[in-house]
Amino acid sequence: MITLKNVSKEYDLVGSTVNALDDVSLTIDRGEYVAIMGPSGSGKSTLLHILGILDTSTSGQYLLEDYDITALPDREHARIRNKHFGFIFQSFNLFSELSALENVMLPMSYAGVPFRKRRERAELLLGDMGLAHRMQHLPTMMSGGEQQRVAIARALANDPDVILADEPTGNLPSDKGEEIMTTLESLNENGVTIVMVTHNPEQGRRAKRRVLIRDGKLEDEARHA
Amino acid sequence: MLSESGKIVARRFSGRLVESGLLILAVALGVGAASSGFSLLGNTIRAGKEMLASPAYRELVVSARSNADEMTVPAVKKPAASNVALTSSDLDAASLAPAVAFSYVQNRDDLQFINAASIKQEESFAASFGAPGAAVSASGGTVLVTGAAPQGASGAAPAPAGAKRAATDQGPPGFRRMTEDDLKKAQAQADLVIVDGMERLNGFLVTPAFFDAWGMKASLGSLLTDSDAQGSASALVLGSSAAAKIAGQGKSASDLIGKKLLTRDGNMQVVGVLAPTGTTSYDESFFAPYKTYASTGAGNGPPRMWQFNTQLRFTVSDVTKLAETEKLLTGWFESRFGEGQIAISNPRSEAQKLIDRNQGIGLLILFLSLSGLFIALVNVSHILMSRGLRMRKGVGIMMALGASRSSVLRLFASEATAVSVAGSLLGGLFALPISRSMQSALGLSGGSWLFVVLGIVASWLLTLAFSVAPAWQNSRIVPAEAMRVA
Ligand SMILES: Nc1ncnc2c1ncn2[C@@H]1O[C@H](COP(=O)(O)OP(=O)(O)OP(=O)(O)O)[C@@H](O)[C@H]1O
Ligand SMILES: [Mg+2]
Repeated sequence: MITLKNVSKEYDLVGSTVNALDDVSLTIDRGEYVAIMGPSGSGKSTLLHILGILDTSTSGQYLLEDYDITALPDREHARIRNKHFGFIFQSFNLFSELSALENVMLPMSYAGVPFRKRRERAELLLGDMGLAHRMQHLPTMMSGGEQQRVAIARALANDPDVILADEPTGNLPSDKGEEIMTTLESLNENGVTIVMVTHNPEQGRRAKRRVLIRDGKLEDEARHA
Repeated sequence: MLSESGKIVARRFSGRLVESGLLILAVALGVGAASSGFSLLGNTIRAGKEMLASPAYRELVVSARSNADEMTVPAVKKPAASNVALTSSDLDAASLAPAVAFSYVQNRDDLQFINAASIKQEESFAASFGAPGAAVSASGGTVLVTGAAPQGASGAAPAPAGAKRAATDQGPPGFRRMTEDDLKKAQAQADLVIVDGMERLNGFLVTPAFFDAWGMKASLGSLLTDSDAQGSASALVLGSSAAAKIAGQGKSASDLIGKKLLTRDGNMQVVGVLAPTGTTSYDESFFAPYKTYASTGAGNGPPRMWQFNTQLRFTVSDVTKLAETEKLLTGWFESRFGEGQIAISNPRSEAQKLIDRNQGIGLLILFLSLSGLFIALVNVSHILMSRGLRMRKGVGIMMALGASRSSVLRLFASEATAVSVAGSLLGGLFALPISRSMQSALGLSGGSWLFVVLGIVASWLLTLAFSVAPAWQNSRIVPAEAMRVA
């Protein structure tokens, strides 16, 4: 579904360049559950951002369903992010001005879903996440685990093909992290592609496919059924 | 109904009330100052143009020197410098100056009406001080001094209007007094109008060319003619407001045509009513013929007092010829009356000086107020930019969730628009009274609100440019980079 061909990402610093990604080629198929692993600063987040078209590569190709999207205008990129990708971040990244419900409704407003419909769907998703009693709460009134579950509901709002998660359990105690992991696994079982950056070897083992990255280079791959 | 991203911006805005209030206030002050400045300059230019468009500023005014001095130094009454008396025959000077289109006499004058109130007042005056003049009747203390009897008031030859000042200066002759009985008899006459509730009416003694010079037309009856000036009948033309006032409420001014007004100077026959002139002082005036008396003209015995006051006006067709015409007229009058006897004033050059000064002040104030607006807008822009920086990560997240750059731009541009509109409206509230008082400080009247509105719109557009720039900057970020911000 997503193919990166010889993708590099360079940052120009004064006097030197940082190769955050160095000639990375990677294909992710529909329904996969991929863990991206590697030491700190190795380029995991950079790779995830490029996969989610939150960033552009310095060189290389990005094919979505065999279609090169690199040259598309920003409006198209925004539409792809909105419809096909759901993002989950380590620090939740909910809007503190919006209630849990409104946070989940937000991506649907970009998709042009009418107010009633997006509220109905947001209520449904939050209910699924076991947050029916938290809908009108502001993020600041919720625990980390609850916030991350709101974020998952938000990522699912437009029924995405791929969930891109950057250390989703990094800020959570292990029992709450476990809840998130089971949620992601059950989503994968329902056909959602999951790409997750993690430091946690145990979480890596649970993924169906592990990609190791070091100094911006794809180093090793392991798959299991 | 706001979308969720609209709610984010709106709640951030209201969550920082002080900052947001300062933003709007800064815009309001800047816009208020700039639009006042704009309106001041606009109105100054407009007023200048309007002023110079008036026939009064295409004229040269010729008067005997002593009068000219009195006009400029009103507190100091100088003895008459000369025995020069101008008459309408001196309008002949115009034949010498080809640029002169009209030449006429226009002297101030007033009519005093005789009515129940004026008689009562006179009687009470007479009772306490004795009637002025030689003849005092034993009964009521009132005496009719004119040659004409009150019974014959309608047909009486009134004292020449122009001779009135001479009459008052020299005593009773020509100054008509009546008793209540006389008034009753006068009331019985169909063609005589007793003007009640009005003590006097200001107006002008003019030669017929006056109406041509000002482009005045009669809406009823006719204007004064040369024969009015020569004959002994006393014709009167009324300004539109004056006619309406004399006719009284609910009555038509056309009823006045042909009627005679009962005044102390005799019965004045209304021959016409002017169409509204656009000049209030003319609409509220009467116009009576300036009489030429060959017998009292220069060289025929001592001139009468009122002749010293005669002002001759020469209207040029082309204002660029004013200076040249002034020179020609000066030559003509000096050769006739001698050097220094006659003063020729050029109202346009005086007005031009005033207008130049006002426009200079207007320009300076506009410059200062625009500087104020600029400083305010730099700060507004700065505050909005730092808001944008604080909002960076949020914008990155919005983009990750599907917001395009243009939708981010729209979002913040709407905020900027709301701030600039609110500020500009508030600024308008400042600007209206401020520009009014600035205008009255420069002595401009009848300012047009159009300039304030134009000024508000112009400075609002500038405000919009300054506040949309940070919004544009906000929309240019790369989401991945924005989200790395902690
Ligand atoms: N804007 C930037 N300018 C310069 N260098 C950058 C920039 N963003 C990232 N980098 C560098 O790119 C490299 C990869 O960064 P990235 O965030 O992808 O690492 P990571 O693997 O996600 O690390 P971590 O596990 O700590 O999150 C790092 O060396 C980082 O310093
Ligand atoms: Mg990272």
